[in-house]
Amino acid sequence: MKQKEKNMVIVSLLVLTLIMIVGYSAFNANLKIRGVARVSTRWNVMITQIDVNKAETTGEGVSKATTLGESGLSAVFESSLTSPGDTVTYDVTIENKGEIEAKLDDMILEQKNIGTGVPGEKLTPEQIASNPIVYSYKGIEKDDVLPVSEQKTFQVVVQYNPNAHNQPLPEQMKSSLVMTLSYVQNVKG
Amino acid sequence: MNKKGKKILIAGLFIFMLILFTAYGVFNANLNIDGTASISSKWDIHIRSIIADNIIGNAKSLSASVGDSGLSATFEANLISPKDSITYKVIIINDGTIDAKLSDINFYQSQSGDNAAIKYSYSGVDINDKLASGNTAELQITVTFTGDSAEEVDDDFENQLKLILSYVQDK
Repeated sequence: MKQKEKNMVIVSLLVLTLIMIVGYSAFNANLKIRGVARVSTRWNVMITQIDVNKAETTGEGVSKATTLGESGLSAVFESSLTSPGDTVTYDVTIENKGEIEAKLDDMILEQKNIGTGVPGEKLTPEQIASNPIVYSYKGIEKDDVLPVSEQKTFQVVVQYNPNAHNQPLPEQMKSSLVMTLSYVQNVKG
Repeated sequence: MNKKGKKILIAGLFIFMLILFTAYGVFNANLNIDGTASISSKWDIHIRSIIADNIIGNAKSLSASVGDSGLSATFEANLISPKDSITYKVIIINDGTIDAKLSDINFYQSQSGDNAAIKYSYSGVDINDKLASGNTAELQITVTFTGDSAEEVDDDFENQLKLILSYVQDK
């Protein structure tokens, strides 16, 4: 083979080799697979309403205010009593707006006398029984189930103790209640 | 499954489990109901004063005073001769915001027989009398030496009075 012909073969081989290297590099692709998973069920138990129950408000008991918290996780009321036996009754509605059945797991009530402006100690059940202002509730119990899309209305009652005969002490002239309802997912079985 | 495949599977399972734990943690709700109640009224019926208002004969009022709480009053009188008497004027006030009513009067004297030398009487109040908020009521208590003769009465003779007025809310 003549020298010129040999050179052409070499160059051709070089070019071919170069093409093969580049081509081989392009034939190496990283395949990426992406995915995302979401939990589509919703948990949403909330207070939807608090109103004074006029039919069950007696004597000179007066509701001064009711307020529903924006998130539906709280409600506030304020009432005034005049004579022993007066009551103010509130209807409180809770709704399960989620997609998961709920259950009332725990219920805690805490009453304190705050007539002097400084909260006193939490009252014991015995102290509450003889306190001029008495809070109670009805229509709701621990372990009550709240199915999806259903509501539960119960009552909170504040009363001027009918057995009170004397003018209350200054610290007893005003009393506070904090009622906490703890709902959890109702796990069956 | 190759090593890379195993790694992808493990990572995927881990992420899935993390989602599960996180989601289970938020499935509870605490709903709070906060309330306050105030007593707007004031119940305050008490004795404001007691004075010896009308003294007849040789009678002497030794003392007349209202107790610290205003729920009691005491007096002491000395009668010397027949027909001696003292009338005590008692002012009762409703200093609260609630109207009241006299529901009961309990009148007791230690010497109550017809021959008792000293007798008590009262006037000015009756059962069911109303005592509105801010108003007063006047009770007169009269103690009289009713005996015919001082010589017929023991020196240390005394007659004690207990008068209880029961007020309740007027509904």
